[in-house]
Amino acid sequence: MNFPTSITYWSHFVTIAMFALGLLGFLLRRNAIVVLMCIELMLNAVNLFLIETSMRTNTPDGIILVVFVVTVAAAEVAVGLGIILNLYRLKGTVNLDHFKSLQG
Amino acid sequence: MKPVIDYFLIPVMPVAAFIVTGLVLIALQCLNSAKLKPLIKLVALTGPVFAIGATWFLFKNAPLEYSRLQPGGHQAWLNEFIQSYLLDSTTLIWYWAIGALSFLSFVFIETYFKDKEELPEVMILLQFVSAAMMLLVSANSLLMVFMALELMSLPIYVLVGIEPNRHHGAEASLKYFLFGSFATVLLLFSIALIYSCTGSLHFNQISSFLLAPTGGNNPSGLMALTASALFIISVGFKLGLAPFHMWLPDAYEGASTPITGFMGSAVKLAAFGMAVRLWWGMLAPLSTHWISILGPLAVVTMFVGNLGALKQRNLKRLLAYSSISHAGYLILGLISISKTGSQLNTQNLFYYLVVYGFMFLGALGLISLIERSSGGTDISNIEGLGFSHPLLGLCLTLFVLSAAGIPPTAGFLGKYFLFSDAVRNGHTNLVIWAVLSSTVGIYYYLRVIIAVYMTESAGRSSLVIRDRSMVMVVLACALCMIFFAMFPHRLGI
Repeated sequence: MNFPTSITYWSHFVTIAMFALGLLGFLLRRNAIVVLMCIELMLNAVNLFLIETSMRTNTPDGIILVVFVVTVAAAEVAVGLGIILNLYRLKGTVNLDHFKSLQG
Repeated sequence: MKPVIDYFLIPVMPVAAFIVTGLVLIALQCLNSAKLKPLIKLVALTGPVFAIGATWFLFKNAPLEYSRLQPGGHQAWLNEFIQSYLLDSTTLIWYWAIGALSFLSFVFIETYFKDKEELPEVMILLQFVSAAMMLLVSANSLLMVFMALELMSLPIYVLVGIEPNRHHGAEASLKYFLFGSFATVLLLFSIALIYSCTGSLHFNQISSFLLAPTGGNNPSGLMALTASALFIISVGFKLGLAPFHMWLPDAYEGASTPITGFMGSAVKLAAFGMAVRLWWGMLAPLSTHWISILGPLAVVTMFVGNLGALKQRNLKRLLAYSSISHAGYLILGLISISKTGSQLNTQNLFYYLVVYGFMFLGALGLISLIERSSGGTDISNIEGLGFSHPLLGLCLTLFVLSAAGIPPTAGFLGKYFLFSDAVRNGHTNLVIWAVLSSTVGIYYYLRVIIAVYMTESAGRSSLVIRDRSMVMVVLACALCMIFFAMFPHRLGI
């Protein structure tokens, strides 16, 4: 296997950094659209990891999966923005702290 | 080289029935004519009917149809697909249940939405959800799991918030969406980890890699353990296990009542089918590791569900918490699945899931009837139901007793099978906790029965039942429950 280890090292570094940033944003940010963007950031971090693994192990499965993930992520953004827009029409805000009518 | 249109399409017929119906419905909806509405209602029901028919056909010609899915002799891309799709006697039985539960839910949902303009969209989305559920229980590769899970979840996020005038609905769908897509990201991350240490996405290759003597101990084995921990979190989100259950009561309460019924019965069944495939089909070599986490998680889930339900006044929320506690019992059944040869003994888990599915759907059908005539789902809305509508009161009693696990009902048999399985597999201490938590549960189930039979119904007997087909669904669910209680082995394999 002559796949350069420096690529593995750096792509893992970028993957972990992106995933951690996305996770932090998901947990800390209160704006629904930013939270949605953080989910996309995490998905793309995993995509990067899949591509790197696919090249390292010399199997096509990972890259195939990435194509599907990108498609699904697009659909997910469409659905998510639709839901957020619907809620904005009803309540006039996209701040997650204001959505507390379901409790208990 | 065989032609592209291969006979491999025959085993996928049940899934194709739903997909084709969905596409036909989209075409009809595009014509945008008010006259077509009755046609849409009719066509929407052909999806589950054809799926059940196709399953019956596969059942009759079982060995031939299974052999069509053997890899080899097909084109390369077909081989790839065939390897990620599993069809055997167990899967077919799950198909029956998904078809039957979908059919009943579709009738129920159609009745609820018949005067509303969202009807076509709801029915289109439901077809794809049902197709994804069938793909999910027969998934044999991680790619299929991911795609099917997303095809199932995305329409449900929309369905939860589809009624524009339901304030809680929009909020519930946002919560469900955020938690659900976070779970998806975690699932994808664990898929990537598994792929990174085994170099494959197919269950057979992954489990044979993990079975190798060094599989559990070398650095990549550690990666596999991390991945299986992440699987527990992400699938736990989807199943509603205890520390990850926050979205579940909100989503179940906020969704339109029949959609809740669908989510709690058919979708739950499919999610557990996926969990069986993931843990016993792929991660079986690591079973000691994940059983040691899932066991305590099951106990926590039962108690969180049962204790959370104690103070609920809203029937939908009460049933949502009860559904969390049932997920705990089901996980107990999941970890005590045993193997004879290469065949998994999932009958007991399946029996419980089906009984629970019909119970939940029937109960939600009743709640929906009450909601439509009295405008609320509070426990005070069912006061005196046993006197004003004896038959419906009896049905509700049957569902509630079954959920509590009181002896002559099917719910008791299901619990009995699950717990005896668990004891046989050495999880006695978990079973003791499970029995204790179901005693807690009896309190709030009995509260429902007290409201039905022992409360003065001052002015509440004016309950008008308008939807005959909803009553039919409730009665069908009750009859199925009686049937399962009398002939439990008709559901065995």
